[in-house]
Amino acid sequence: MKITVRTLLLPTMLALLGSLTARADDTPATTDSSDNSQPPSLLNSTENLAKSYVLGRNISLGVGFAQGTFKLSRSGDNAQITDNGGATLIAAIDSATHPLKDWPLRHGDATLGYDFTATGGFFSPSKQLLDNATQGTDVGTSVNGGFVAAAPRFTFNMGPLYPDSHIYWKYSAGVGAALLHFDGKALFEGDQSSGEHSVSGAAVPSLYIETKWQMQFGHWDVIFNSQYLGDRHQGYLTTYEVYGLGAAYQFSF
Amino acid sequence: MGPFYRRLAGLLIFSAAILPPAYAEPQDGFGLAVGPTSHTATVIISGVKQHYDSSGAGLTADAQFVVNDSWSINPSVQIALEKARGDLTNNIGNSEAGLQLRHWTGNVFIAPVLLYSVEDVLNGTVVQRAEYGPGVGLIGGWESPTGLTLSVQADAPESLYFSSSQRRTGLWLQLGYRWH
Repeated sequence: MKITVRTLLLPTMLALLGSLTARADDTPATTDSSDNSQPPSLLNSTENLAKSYVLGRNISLGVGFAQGTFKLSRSGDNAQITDNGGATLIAAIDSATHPLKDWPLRHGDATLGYDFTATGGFFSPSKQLLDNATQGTDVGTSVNGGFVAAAPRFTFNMGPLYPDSHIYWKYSAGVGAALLHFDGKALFEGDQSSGEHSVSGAAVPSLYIETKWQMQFGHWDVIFNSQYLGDRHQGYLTTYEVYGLGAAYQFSF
Repeated sequence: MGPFYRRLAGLLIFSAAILPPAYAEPQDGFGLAVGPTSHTATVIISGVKQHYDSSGAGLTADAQFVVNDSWSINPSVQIALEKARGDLTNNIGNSEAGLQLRHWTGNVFIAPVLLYSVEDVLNGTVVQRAEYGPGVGLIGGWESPTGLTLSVQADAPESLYFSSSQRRTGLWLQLGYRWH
């Protein structure tokens, strides 16, 4: 796994940088009608403007509710520590979508494509998962950390939902690489190293998996997302998982 | 066939008998529906196989993107709160995010469903156990030109994840409205 993650890391970062610095040529993400001899109709102009939020390059900033859980496990013992859910910030940079296949809908179209995303976050879970699957207990342990991640994603989007609306649906799923940093103390359960132990890792290369389900209303997104970071570190499978929902505003650039 | 399924079959036959045979193409729009739900589970908890049935009420929200008069694609989200009986007697929360490819004949449709589901076994307000994973289903239904909707969905949550010794099945009868 470690070789795979490190092998993924460099090309993913390079591809992301390349993608962010060059807008896709085939992206229909423009409201500039200077190239057209005929001015677009109001409806086409509206749809193009709305589609630019879906397929164009953008930065998403928002707030949401999410639960993050940090886990360390190996045969015989494990530690799981969560934040019990709470308010969180949403921040991501997405490249333009490169369409692979397009199908016409009665209004607009459905597009299968790919893009690149970069994101990051901080975490500080302090509730140990003991006899509950999702709600942790405060036993005085906590792990602080953060991550940066990048991934190519397959995307599928459809819309607009109504002829004169800016409403689109988008699903994306990607596998990439991340750097994970963590430091703190966790309670281990098991046969080998039960009890509280210090845990730490500095810029640990990790696998990154992201799925995102979005309803897009113009510049605004309603987002359900999941993120998984994982790698084997000092004999332990070290993972950080986030499940959440939120709303974000897209700044096109 | 249990009493719930007998009632469900009766309701479906009654609905089919009273609904007008209107023929129209499917319409784009958001939909919202509510109705009874039921799940059956055989799972292994702490190494012990347990079987329980649960029934309750559910809510479905979807967006219908019409391809043409014969096809539409519907992303959907569903949530149900149920009471279990059998080896477990807890309250059960079932939620699903799905994608349907609907084939239409007039205003009647049938569709396969690809879904991701989460089952929460509740102890009071505490989630005692959570299971999640991808699954498949089948949905059929009817939508009126005025926006009324009726559907029945049978699914196998986590069927693409569970081993053959663990399985869950679900049934959703949903009556609702679509905003065209």
